[in-house]
Amino acid sequence: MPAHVRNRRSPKIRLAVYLAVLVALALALRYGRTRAAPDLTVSIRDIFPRADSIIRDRGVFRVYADSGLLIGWAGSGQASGYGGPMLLVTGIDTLGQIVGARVVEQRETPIFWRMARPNDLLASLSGKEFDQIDFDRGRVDGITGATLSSEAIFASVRAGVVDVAAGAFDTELPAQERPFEFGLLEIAVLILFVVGIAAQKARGTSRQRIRWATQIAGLLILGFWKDSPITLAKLVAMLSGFFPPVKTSLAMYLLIAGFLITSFFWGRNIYCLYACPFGAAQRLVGLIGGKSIKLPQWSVRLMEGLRNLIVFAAIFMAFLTLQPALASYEPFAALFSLNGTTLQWILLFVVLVASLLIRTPWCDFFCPMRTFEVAVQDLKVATRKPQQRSSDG
Amino acid sequence: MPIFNSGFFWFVEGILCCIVVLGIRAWALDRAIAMPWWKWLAVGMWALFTGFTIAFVGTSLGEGEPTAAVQGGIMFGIVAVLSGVGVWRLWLIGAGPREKQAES
Amino acid sequence: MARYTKWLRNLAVLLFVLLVNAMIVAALVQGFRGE
Repeated sequence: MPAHVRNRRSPKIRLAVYLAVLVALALALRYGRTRAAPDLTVSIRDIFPRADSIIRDRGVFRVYADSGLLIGWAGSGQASGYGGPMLLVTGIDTLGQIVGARVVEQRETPIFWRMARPNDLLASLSGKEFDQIDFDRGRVDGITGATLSSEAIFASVRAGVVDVAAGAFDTELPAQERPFEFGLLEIAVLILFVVGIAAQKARGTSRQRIRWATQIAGLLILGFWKDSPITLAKLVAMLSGFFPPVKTSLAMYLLIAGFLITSFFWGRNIYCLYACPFGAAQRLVGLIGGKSIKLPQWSVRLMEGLRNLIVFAAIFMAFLTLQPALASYEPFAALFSLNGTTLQWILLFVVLVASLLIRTPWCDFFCPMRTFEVAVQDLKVATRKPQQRSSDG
Repeated sequence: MPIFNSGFFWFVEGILCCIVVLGIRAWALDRAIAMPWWKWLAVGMWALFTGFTIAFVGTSLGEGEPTAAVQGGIMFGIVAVLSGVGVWRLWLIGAGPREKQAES
Repeated sequence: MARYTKWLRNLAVLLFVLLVNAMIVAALVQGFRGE
């Protein structure tokens, strides 16, 4: 149902629902953000079993044994992972050797966190002198598929080490050179959006052909090659206030910005229609299946309502626990990286088979992005209402 | 388990395969669908692939690898189902006009 | 006969969507329960 028609039906109720949703989400986020900060001393005691007293001195922690002897220092570091910032604390002894590091909090998707094997990574650092560690190794040694998580682990340890180096050893470690990532993925994203926008000027059949072309490109590049479609986790992370550095996540920012901007200004969501790899997968399967079932309006509206309800619940819980990665129930990684929970694999199977009979079932009835797109379109219509009414009268 | 090693099993298996092939031929004749060599090839390859999928799941479970069974099973299963539908539609190509009407 | 088939089909789709939603909710609960 087009936005302007949808919004003419009981606009007051729609507005009330949107307001209620926003208030509920805001409260959940507030609760999530004001929960007690984690106690670092617990982790520090774990690193230094002989620790008796721990004194915070500017940026670092001084660790003393019960004899009063200084046995080492600890520094905490934060880095951006997939689902938000992670916090690690690293302990260094008086000789400058790393005693150990502990994860205080992390927000990664559970499967990927396990894949990153944090305990092994951290254990490999023990015994090394703090200025002898090659932290960039994290990018090379990092487990593929969990690259983001393993890189964040190393970055977080490094941040803690830098603090201790400066505060305790009076040494300034060289700044970590994070290169600005602008490669084929970013270029592809830009091209997909530009072509998609330009395609709006084209006539019916040529526009359809262009759409197939961009979708297949999206399927191959955003899907199978890079596995970087927009996911609910990424969006919720940003809404929670976790903004990963632009240098490393430019593609994600471009996709989300493109999604929101094209939905609002052009009324057509170029991402969903022209770039989304999973949408492409569904359409291709639909080709195999032939004609799709036509569903009655009441049924479609009911199922869309269910979708919105679930998306709301997922975002609400993610705000409450401040764990954006847990909100992502999409099975994309199973298809594009062969990584997923059993439930996600089953979901993938079910959705793809359903695509034989129903037109883009995930997009219409399960995708959180569709819920956002509808909200953006409603916003667009709402902000243009005065004009609308006069053109009707 | 030992039954699968016996010659008798494979003898019966062979007979079943022949019956299936003859059945497909009869079915195609009934519905006035032409069966050129490539249709046989498509059906045969699909049957082999699906058999492989089932074998994969069974073997994985037998080897005590339930995760592999699920992931591989679903992965190959998706291909088997989708290609199955594809082969089905391929099979209907060249069907008589009466069949096309019944399809829609 | 045709009318019943359509109705059944639409019901099947609805049930299917409900089932998948239940799976998604189960996945979400499973994920958040760890917190």
